[in-house]
Amino acid sequence: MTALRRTVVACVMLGAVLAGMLATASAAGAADGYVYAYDQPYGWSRGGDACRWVGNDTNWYDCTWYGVRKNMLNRASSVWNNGYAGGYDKVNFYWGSNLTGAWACLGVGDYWADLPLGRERFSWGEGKPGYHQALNNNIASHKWVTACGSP
Amino acid sequence: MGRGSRRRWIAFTVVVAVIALVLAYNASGAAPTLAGSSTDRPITAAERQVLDRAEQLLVQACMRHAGFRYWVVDAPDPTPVHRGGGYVVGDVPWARRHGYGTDLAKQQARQDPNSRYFASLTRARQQAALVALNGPSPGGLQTTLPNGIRVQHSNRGCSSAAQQQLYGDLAGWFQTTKLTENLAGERYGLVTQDPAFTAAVTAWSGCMHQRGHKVDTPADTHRRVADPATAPSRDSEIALAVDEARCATTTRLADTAERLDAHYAALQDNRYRAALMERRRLQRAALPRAQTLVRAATRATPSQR
Repeated sequence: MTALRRTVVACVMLGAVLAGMLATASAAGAADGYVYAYDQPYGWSRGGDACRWVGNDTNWYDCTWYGVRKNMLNRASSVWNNGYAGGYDKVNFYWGSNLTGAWACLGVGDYWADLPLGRERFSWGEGKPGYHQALNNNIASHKWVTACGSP
Repeated sequence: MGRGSRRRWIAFTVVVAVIALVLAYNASGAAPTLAGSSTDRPITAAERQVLDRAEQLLVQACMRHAGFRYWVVDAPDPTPVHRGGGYVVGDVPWARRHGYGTDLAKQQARQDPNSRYFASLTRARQQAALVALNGPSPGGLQTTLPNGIRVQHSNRGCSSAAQQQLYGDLAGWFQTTKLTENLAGERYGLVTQDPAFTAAVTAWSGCMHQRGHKVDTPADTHRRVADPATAPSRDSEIALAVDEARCATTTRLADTAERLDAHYAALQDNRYRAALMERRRLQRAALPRAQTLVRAATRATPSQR
């Protein structure tokens, strides 16, 4: 086998291994699209600070916007679930870091554009810290779930 | 006309009028519905499945046109009703077999073909697939829920196009869908804050403490199991679920939760009657179209599906 062919074969095998790892990560319940948080209401069109996630995040203090490090801890004023339908495609937003406290659930494709109005609240997790508080500037972590109501 | 014949004429007219009223009254109740008239019969599970499949077939065709594969997936079985209405595990034999059902949930999610397909794409292709399915931006549709929550959604992309094609009224369908989706959450709040529920939870918590579990509410046990950081081994999960179910039975928390859930569901049916009727109207109008689509797809060869 020539050196070139060996290299090609190695690349193909590496690609297959990576694809396998990616598939495994997905099977373990990782991202199913992207979730966005903006520090402004109507953040998608207004700009301002924002973070975009693939997968879960136990502390919004440290997140990224296309590679640039940002801090969205208790800062979000609008959120968008740009998930791909199927599997883990809803998003739980938690009052506390590490997925603790009460939570709110956003459906696939849905956008809460104006959290400062105070309508959207942590409506799940009765008895937990933050239950019924408004979401605005109050979200600390998130996780993808298959159905709203999952803790 | 003489007085006698006038009286007879009036009497005749009254009798005819009464008969007409009676017939109309009976017809509205029992007769088969005329086109355009409403009916109280709910949409059956089978009909819902036909509508869901038809919508996905439309999405599939649209995504294929955009260069992506898409699978028609039947909605997974809802969380098995293991007594307790979803608020607490109340079925001991079920708990012994499944714990909290994490094994079932993971299995379902892992098998979703669209999820796996998306994960197999490159980042660039994933972005393109999202734009194709969801549209390029989150705006276009908006609705305000009864509790004041305002939710927006894209009116473009294959998802929206499919719904517009099937239901003919994308904005209307979006509105009723969001309301329906929110019912369980609203009911959760109503049930968990009902004094009968909180009293039973207090008793349940005492029972759990006696068995060595320091938990206040079923949400504590569910959270422990759902969080990868604290999730117990399968044996521990089953032991915890069995204790939860035993306590839910002896304290009657399971019965109370089920009863309250049914009570508040009936309340919601009443409160949101107009919106729920509108949903049925849209579904019923879409059924013939949906059935045609699903039949055509079934006739197609397997490789074309």
